[in-house]
Amino acid sequence: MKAETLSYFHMPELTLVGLGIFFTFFMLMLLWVFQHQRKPFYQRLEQLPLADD
Amino acid sequence: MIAEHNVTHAGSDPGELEEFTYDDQIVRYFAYATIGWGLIAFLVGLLIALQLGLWQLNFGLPWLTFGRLRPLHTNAAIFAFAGNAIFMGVYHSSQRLLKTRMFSDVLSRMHFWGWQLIIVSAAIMLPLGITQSKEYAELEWPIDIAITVVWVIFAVNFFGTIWKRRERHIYVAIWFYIATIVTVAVLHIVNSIELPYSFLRSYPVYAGVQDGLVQWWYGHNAVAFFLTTPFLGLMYYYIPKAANRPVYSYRLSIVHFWALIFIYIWAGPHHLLNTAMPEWAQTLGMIFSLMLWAPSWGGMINGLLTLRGAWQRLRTEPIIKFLVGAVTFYGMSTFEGPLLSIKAVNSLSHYTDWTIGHVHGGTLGWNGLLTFGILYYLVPKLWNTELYSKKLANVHFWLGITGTGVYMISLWVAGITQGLMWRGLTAEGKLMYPDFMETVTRIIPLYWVRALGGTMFIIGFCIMVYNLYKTMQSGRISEPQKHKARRLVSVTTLNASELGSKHRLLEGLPMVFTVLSVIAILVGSVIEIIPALVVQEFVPNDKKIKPYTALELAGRDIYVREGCYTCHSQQIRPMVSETLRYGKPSTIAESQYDRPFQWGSKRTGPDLARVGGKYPDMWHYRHMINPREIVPQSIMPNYPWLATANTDLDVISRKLQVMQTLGVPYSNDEVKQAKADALRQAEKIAAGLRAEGGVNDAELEQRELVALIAYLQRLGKNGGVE
Ligand code: HEC
Repeated sequence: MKAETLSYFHMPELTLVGLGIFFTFFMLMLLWVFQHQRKPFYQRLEQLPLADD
Repeated sequence: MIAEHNVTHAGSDPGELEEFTYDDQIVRYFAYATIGWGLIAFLVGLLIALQLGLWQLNFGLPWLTFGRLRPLHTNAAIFAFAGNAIFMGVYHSSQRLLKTRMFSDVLSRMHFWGWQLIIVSAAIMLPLGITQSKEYAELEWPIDIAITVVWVIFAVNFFGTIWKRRERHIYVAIWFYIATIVTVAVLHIVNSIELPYSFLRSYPVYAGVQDGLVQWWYGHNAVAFFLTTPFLGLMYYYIPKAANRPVYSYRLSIVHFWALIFIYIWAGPHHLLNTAMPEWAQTLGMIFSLMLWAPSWGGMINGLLTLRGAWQRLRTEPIIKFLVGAVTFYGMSTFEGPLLSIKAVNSLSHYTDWTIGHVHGGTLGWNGLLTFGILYYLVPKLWNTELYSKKLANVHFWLGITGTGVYMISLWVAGITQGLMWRGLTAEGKLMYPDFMETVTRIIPLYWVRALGGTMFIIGFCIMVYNLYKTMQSGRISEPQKHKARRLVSVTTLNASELGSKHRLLEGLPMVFTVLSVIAILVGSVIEIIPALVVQEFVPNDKKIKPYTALELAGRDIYVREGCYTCHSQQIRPMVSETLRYGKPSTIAESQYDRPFQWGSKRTGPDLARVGGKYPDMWHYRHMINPREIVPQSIMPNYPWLATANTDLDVISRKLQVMQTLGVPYSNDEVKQAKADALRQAEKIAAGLRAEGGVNDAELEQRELVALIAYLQRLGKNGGVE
């Protein structure tokens, strides 16, 4: 039924745009996160839970 | 003793040194609530599991029947047990990660008591049959409003805490919390838009397929953003804490976060398939969805490898055992989930108990074990003592994972058996098991095994309660410890070189981050939900199909009240075996007036989409009062009270009026004369029952059962036009 409904949905641009945005952002996010100079920053962040409480 | 935190970082954060305490009392409150509601949720679950083996276990009481208790079980497990566990962990870890007390003690308490009040009212209303019968969104409009208010209180309190924090950088756990708070708000509000017709009842604004699509969007993402993201946040805090070493890869945790937000909200493979999208794009979308299997496993591996170099503690530390067990179940469920959404697998698994087994792998294994691990960690800390008994905790652990395993495996077998029997065809192309009951009796032994698994899990839980109780007794609640940290200077007054790169600036700014994730979620939701919201334009209403008559509508509301959808679907799929068993596939137009849609998700009993006309009225009359009179092995509950209670026909006009407002083509006359029309139709049915079955009841036409029969006989009949 859901499949049937979606087959009535004739806005391929919308889904395509969605996929495009998704793809672009995902890749950008990966590039960003794996930048080399960000390492020290992560090293500081990952210590945050370990402070005594 | 005064703990000092960022004092030494004075160089980069030249704020004033401040003294503060954490609010641990609120964490204790939520811990009590988690334990108390957990016990209730589990026990109700066990009761309904047993009812499937022994139908008598509802003791003939309406409010103990399967259809009414199953929603109570799911709501209690998700919103009461898991909900309070989330709040417990969020209030405890956020204060520490942000180095500040919660924004407002008053808001914290309002959040706590408000949430408990919601749970109590749900626990009263659901057994009374005050329900919308939309899975996991059953609660009626007054509670929906209360949920919104309490959630906003929580959000203000949480974002206020971030605002007054003393740690500039936001640890990944907080990200997960933010995504949870924002998304749950959006999901809840969009899915709960409804129009009341009385103090406690309403009809959703969406109908049929649209209601179904919105509800699935909600249900799917509720699993993601209530049972997954907050618990991942907890995992990223408590595993490092318990293992006393940083998370294996901080980078991976960020990728995990964004990937999750993306997968759940946008890249659901079923969403990309079946649309008019070009083939290559569909394929790309699917590959992407499959690729996204990786982040879930990445997350699991990230959690597990945090223990690198400390594996020996897995043998000695019960807390670590629970956390590792939980993460392992997380990995298993997130593997099984996408598997179940593959079309071929889904055609077998859908409507079977396989789904129930899958869900419990996630809830018992992942949410349950993680919560227990956190409780074993927190209670000794908050009561300033040691855990009463590690041995008992170990026993709990083994009972917990064995119980969950037994549960999953039994329903896995049951589900596949059911699925195969339903679709089994003989060489001549006939159904191999035409009698639905045969497919039920075959799996009842497995229901007992499932109940055994659940019992083990509950015994383990009770051992934990005892253990924690003894721990609390041996400890004491001391004066809150004082902490010191420097106040944050507003970012704008800091010069950028002190902050380091612009990137750090960005990540240190929760506002920007929140906005980004809100955009991600909203854009994703919009793209996913637009097909649902505009579907009406594409699927023209079939004018030939008549809306329900007043009596049928009243009967339908009884069907909704009794929660028949917990055992019956109303949705015939386009498969040979289904067509042979139930008739031609359901169409979109057939449910265009269904508010709420009642397609259901599980077939403990047969599909009812085309049950209309299949049996005479008298058959239903006797079957509803005592199914075993007709089908000796049936496990359906008796509904004798439907034959003695009267249909409330005084609100029927109002109901039709609300429907009319929502766009159902009732004429003004039909609205005005609804009661008389209903009575006229009821009299006809009653006359038949008297003549045919000799039913001896002077007020027969008033009875709820007559209205229900009118509805059942209408199913698949489209109001006389075929
Ligand atoms: C605990 C699960 C359960 C619940 C709850 C339940 N049923 Fe059933 N139902 C069954 C089973 C199993 C069968 C098949 C055996 C039989 O006919 O009794 C069945 C059969 C039926 C049938 C006959 C279908 C056919 O094609 O033969 C009807 C009609 C029906 N149920 C209506 C209802 C209604 C209405 C409600 C809610 C008031 C309800 N059921 C609640 C389990 C359930």
